[in-house]
Amino acid sequence: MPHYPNPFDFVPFPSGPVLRTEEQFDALGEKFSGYLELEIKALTPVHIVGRVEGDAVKNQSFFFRQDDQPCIPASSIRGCLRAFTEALTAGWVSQATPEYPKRCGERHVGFRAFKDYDPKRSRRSRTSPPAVDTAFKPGAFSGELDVASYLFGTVIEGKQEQEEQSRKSKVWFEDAYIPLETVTFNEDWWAPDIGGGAFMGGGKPSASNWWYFKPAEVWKRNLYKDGSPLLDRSGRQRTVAEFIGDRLRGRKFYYHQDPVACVKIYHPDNKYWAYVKNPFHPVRLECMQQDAVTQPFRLYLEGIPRSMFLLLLRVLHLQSTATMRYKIGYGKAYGYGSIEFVLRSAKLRTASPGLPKALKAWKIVAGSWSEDALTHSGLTDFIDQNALAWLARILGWPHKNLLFVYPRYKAQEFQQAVTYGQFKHEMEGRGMPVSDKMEVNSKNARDIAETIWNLKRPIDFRLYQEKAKGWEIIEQRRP
Amino acid sequence: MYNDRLYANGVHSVLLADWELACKTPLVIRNGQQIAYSDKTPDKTRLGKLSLSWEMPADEEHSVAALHYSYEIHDDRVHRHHFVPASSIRGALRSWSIRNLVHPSLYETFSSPANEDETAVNLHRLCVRQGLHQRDTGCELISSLFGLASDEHEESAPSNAGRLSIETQKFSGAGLRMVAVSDAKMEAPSEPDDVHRQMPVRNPLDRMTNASRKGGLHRFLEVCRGERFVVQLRIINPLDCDLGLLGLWVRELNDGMLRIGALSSIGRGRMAVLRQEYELWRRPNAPKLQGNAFFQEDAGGSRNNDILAGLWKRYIVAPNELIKFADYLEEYTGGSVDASLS
Repeated sequence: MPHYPNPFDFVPFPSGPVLRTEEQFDALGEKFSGYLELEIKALTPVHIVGRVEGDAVKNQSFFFRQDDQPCIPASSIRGCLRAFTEALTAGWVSQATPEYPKRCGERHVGFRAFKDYDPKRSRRSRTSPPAVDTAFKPGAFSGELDVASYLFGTVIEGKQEQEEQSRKSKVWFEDAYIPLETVTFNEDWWAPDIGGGAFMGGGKPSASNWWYFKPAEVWKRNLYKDGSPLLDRSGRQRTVAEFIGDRLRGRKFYYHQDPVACVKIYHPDNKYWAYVKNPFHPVRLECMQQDAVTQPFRLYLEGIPRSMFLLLLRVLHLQSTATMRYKIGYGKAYGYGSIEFVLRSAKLRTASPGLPKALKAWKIVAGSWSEDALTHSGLTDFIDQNALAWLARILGWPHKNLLFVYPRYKAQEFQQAVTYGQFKHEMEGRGMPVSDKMEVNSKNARDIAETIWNLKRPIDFRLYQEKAKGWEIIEQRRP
Repeated sequence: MYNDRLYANGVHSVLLADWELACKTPLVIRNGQQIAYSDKTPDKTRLGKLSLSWEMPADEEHSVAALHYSYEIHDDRVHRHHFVPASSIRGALRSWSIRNLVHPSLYETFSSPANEDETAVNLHRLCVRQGLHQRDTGCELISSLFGLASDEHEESAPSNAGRLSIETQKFSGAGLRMVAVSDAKMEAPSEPDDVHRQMPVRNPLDRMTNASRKGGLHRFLEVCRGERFVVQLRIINPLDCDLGLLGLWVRELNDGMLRIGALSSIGRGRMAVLRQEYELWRRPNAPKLQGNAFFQEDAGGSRNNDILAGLWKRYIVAPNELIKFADYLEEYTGGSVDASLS
């Protein structure tokens, strides 16, 4: 039976970041200052978490407000555009949790974002390499910046506090206020939750599987409980096959989908999703209605060179033929928060000798993503074409009624551990080499995941996605 | 050419300007302090029983970046109030002026290099020498208005006090309200309460998980939209170009290109100049300004009780005339960022 694709996917890292000196960026054409007046249109209901009311059984989450008016904070808009820009332009990873330590009963293999991780006490001594190539750590090449840091500013940590470097942002975002009457509760707008804990609990990248991580090794892992070997019925130590990864696959983005159709799948009545340990209860969400539009808000530019300005217009997806849209706020995995930017007006000036001129109305036309258009805008060297192709797949709009659901916690899916015996049996049955500790590359990892598909499907993320229903539609999406 | 003897002929005129500014977007003025807040709500609910305390935070989780405040003593009691310090206004005006009137290659003129950094010290000296040598670098005007500091060990280095001084008044908004946290309200029993404040909560998203980055949660206090305050500027021995610069500042404040306070990257600090008044007080034999046609002698008005009343003549400059003085600024500017230093 075909399965739904997982609701997120990864934009792979290129071989290295694209960096320039500030002077090189500054030389990319005449400089523009002023502001664009934009609106945000909700393509699916949008929820920004404000006040949450309720108890362990019934919760409702109100839309964020400022001055008693619903509002999409500037920082959310800014973060949304920066994350896209970083992925598109082979930029640094500006925000990453620095460490995921090994924890008993929770995370078997620890790792750090940009450093080696050496567990202090472990039966198996394994130093995890940095989960992200250190070339993508902000400031890794002193004196140079990525595109996102040039546009959005950066604070680069030094070895000591006085060595910290900061650059002011050249783009300033203002809050987007929403007419009060377009923000409401609706019985169909909710997110699944469980009593006593977080439902999915946010992203939990693990180096003990090939979900967030690229495949690197397969281990035979002996199981212990309270320090003693865990035995099976015949008295032998229980073992499982453990699928170890080394590098994170890429930068995570969520697919668009219809949230009303999606959350129904998670409802117990649907029988698709089982709630065994914790009782299910929905969290009602106060949302900006689909098709509602924010009040105009401003995006300011200060001295942005022509090529970077043309990039920013593309990043806003202002083209009439745009095939990508953004997601913002809470509940992205369920389909909430799909938005588009609408340009109302622009008031700009270009830098020139003499006094700064007054801002004047300006007609703006955003260029396309075609190679010719990018070359004409002086952007070819800044765009990671592979990343652009992946962004177009993940952020593709319209979503054609595709549904995306997390793999279930049940047999054949996440809950299922693959015993080492089963793993060895399946591998040897196909005539594939097997050992207690084997190194793998992406090709033979995929073959392994295919081989044990009937034991557990969510082994290799890429294979799982490509075998999901609707993948052929996703794969065909283009920028 | 630069002359640090700004008052060689004495003080012959003073320009007084009053601006009433309204916050078009929230305003963040930090004082470097973190204060504590508490949340007495049960698990899994948020923003319920919140309280801001005038204390050091016990942990990072309950820490809030404070908003600038000051004390006053009257009736033998200490009164606290939030206000925008004059240094914030001065810093914003100076920074805008440097960015827009001075070529980037001379920016170092206005920074203070660390003494131990010989390269930076030499660059600073070079910029000061080059910048002040020519009027059309913009350095002379900015040094004259905002002052120029030199290293105390270099007695021969140019330095002067600025001709511009700034004062600010307390907020004139509603005040006496609790701190807004989304649509919840936070009590602040022992805090200054002269202005409507809010506490945004921010957390960047980890690029790998699209979830909140661990350690990234932060909160800060800010002044809400719509609050108002008055700024008073005084320029000694004003020149035509000073009036032109005032006109540009007002234009840029209203356009949002000149912002007050921190976090312009998330739109904070855009102002509207609601009211502006300009008075020029001159000694009878004061040197004439070239833009005389743009202002008129006025015997009446709100400042007849000024300390200068009856001693010097008072002239009114209409706000809409101010920008006409910008022409006199041309010879004092080094051009904006694309201009070359030839």
